[in-house]
Amino acid sequence: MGATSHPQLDRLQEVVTALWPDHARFLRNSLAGYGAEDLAAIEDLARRVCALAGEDLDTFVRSYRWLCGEMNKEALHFKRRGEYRLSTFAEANAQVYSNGAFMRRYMEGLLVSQVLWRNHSAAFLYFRQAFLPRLPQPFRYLEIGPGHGLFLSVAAEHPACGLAEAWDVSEESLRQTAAALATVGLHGRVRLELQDIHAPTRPPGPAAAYDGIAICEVLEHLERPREALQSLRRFLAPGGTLFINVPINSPAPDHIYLLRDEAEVREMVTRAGLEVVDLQLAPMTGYSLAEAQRQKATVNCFVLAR
Amino acid sequence: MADVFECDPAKIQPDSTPDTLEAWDSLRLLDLILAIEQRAHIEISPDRLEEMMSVPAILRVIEESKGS
Ligand SMILES: C[S@@+](CC[C@H](N)C(=O)[O-])C[C@H]1O[C@@H](n2cnc3c(N)ncnc32)[C@H](O)[C@@H]1O
Repeated sequence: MGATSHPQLDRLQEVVTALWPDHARFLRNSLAGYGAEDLAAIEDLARRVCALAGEDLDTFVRSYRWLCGEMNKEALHFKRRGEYRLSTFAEANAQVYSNGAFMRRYMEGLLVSQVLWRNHSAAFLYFRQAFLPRLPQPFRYLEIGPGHGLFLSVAAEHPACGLAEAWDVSEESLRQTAAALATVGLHGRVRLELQDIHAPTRPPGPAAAYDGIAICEVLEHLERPREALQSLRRFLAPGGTLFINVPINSPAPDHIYLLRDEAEVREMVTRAGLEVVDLQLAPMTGYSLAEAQRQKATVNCFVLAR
Repeated sequence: MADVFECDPAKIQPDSTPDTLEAWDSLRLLDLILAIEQRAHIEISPDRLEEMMSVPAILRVIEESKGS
């Protein structure tokens, strides 16, 4: 690391280890092996996350610790039964989405995990280093289910970005994305729309054609992810690229669609009428890819498709 | 424990914790729990995972899960 400093990343790690000393080794593992360029990008990610947490960083970190505990419970179920606990949107809605107190802690914890979980930081790096550089200049960008808005804000701030839009089926999620964008100084720069990817009210065509479409950690929340991809394909501009980030073997309170390996992801993407241009796998913190595959630990799958 | 963590049994001490034992992470703890459950014919509640962060704590939870 040499003389390069990472003040926000250091601060985040300090707050976590102060509140949760046993997590120190996990944090070391999570950042091990990253080079200077990657660490600079992760520092930028940490800066955005700390800005969103604002004065409440301690609260967010406590939510993160709670989230890790909830994930462990889901993982125990997954190890016992070999499947996710829930399988329908109605169940996830009843148990998670409509539970305001649960959702608040869940979203706070997930925000912190974007920096601290290897599979999440790897997604951010892939988005910046592999996906965005493929887009033309100027590019038209669409994101589905932007949530915390971290990817969306990086795309919208990119010098080549001509237009940035995001769709979500949940009004509440859009409100949170709007607030997040305002916090990082992008108020009004991104068009946010209430849209269900299964049934968009926008007709595909030149006014709704995007050079880059990103869908990150959304497909595993859907009952019919392949159909969602089929629907999205119609919104790709000629020569456009779709970035899919979907976790494999990833038990979580609101994950309903289980993908067991890379082959299942490839099949879903190809059967949606898309061609896989690149596919990378990022195992969770503390696991090599081979070991994660052997133990059925979470691996995130990044796909570029057209 | 040594089987699950794939390490030398001598490395596991009564005062071992996730911080002193390189292979002890949350997922491998779950493997340990499943192995214990099978041998002891018990089912440990997911709500007790959080406490199981030391060898004595694991033994305590196993004891308390018997007959439940
Ligand atoms: C877990 S969040 C993903 C947040 C962020 N992209 C990330 O990578 O962490 C999933 C989002 O997808 C949205 N979503 C779920 N089903 C959808 C659908 N059918 N159409 C559009 N958005 C949907 C949810 O409302 C939620 O905001």
